[in-house]
Amino acid sequence: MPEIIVCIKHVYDETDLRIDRVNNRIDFEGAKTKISDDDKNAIEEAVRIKEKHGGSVTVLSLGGAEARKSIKEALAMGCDKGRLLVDPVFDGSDAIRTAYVLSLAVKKIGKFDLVITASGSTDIYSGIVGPSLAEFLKIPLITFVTKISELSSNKITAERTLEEGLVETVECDLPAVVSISREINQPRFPTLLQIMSAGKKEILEWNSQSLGAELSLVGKTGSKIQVEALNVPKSARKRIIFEGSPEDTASKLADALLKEGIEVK
Amino acid sequence: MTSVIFSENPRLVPELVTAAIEKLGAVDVRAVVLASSQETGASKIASVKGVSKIYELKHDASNLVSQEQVAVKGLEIVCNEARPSFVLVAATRRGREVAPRLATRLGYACITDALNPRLEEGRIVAERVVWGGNAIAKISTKDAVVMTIPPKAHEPATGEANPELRPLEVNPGAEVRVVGRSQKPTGKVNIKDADVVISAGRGFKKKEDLSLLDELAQLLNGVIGASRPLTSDLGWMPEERQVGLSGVTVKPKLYIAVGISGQIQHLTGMRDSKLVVAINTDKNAPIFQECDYGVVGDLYCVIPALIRALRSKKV
Repeated sequence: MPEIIVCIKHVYDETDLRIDRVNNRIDFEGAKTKISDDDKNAIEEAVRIKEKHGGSVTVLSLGGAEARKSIKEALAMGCDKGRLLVDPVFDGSDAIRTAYVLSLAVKKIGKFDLVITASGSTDIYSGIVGPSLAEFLKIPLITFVTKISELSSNKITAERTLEEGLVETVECDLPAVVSISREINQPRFPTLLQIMSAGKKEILEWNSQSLGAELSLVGKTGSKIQVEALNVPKSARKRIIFEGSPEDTASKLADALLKEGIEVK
Repeated sequence: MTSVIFSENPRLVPELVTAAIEKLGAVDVRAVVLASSQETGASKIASVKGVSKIYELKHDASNLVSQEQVAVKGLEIVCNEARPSFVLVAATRRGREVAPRLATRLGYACITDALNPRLEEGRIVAERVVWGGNAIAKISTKDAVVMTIPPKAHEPATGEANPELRPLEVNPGAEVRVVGRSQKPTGKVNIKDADVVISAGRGFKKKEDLSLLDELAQLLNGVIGASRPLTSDLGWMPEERQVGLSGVTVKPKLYIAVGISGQIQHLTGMRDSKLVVAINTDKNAPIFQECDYGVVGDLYCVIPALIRALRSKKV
């Protein structure tokens, strides 16, 4: 029966950030937080596998204490155990350093068949963690998975969707890392009962010491990229807005388009 | 500075050459291509001015070897020889797998979807769209770095060249085996290269109503795209039509957002369009901050009226 690990990220809700265009500032203070959107699909896929094949699902997250909230949500969706990787020395870890810490946690869990990640997080969307994690673990990787076709005790077969509708069916031995695309499923909403019973499920905290992390390889010290600034994108659009009756506004818009040199057949 | 560039799609190599030489000051650019590429003559396509060497990765005859594995292994060999300051990989899906794996393996930094890559005081600097497009992060590194470069971000380099051709046999092992490839029917629509893209969003109440846009698309010689809810969540349109951060980035001459509120995730995929038009009932929708011309109104009335207006006014 498959032992599955899902890696998730607790993020600021990007739709709840206050953007100050005038002063070029982004205000995170008080913004809502959530599980990164695509991680829900990763959780959903893991739970579906468990429902079909048995086994159990452990959810891993590197983050501050507030990441507990996302782990709880994953438990409510059907994961069995949570592991929060939390330590001030992890702060400022770039994506490759995050993958390193996750790889230590996966090794600590020891027995696993599949690690599932999203293809990117809704905040930074660098898409680095899944592939980098597979490298640290030195196990096979299948990216952009849109369907897990078969899972046996030692092998996975999956479909991955690339550009322009190219679908590649691939297989590899287990254990493996699989990064999923959002189209793979429709995540469930946990019921109130599930949310309540999730409170009883185990969440352990692991720090750099319990993970045996090399301190020179984590946090700002280990990271090779620096974020120098966060800027608000500038928009240089005309912003000419027409309001009124459909006929009137459509007519003005048509005039504007023709004036801009748009060709009409 | 030495740089190594790679794409499994050799047609993207000339764009990477421009980024490497003109933006990042590379003097020695070595291109890596796959001999197994479906394109015939990958090396020839990649032979543009500025490329000093081309490594053609060959692997055993079977077509069903994971291209990513071949690429990572081949790039590892090339980088260990060339010791590049930076590696540029075209940000296709395959490229997005290859780059972080290579960076991890080599102990390099990794910057994905790097915009406006450049040198500043000895550091490599680039911008990335983050927080769903709400912010642009300025990222830098003092280390050797692997970056993915979005297609179409740089003019392709041109001009004849005669780079040294080096075939390189790569045996990555068969960790991931390709057992089949198929082409999902995508129709003939390619929103990426269209001059006019008309995208539909949640303002449409049902799938059948999307046909409202057909006549407009015909009039403007455009193609129809969609926002993420209509593709990923509702499945009304195939994924290849999704404009946005997790879909396709388009840069048409004219982009019309119909019933799209303008979530940042969507804006990121159309921000570089030349002219942007928005039609939405909600006057406060963010799309109106990002458009040249906007109509506040019900798309079910405005679209037919616009079609009539364009018909009567056209020359």
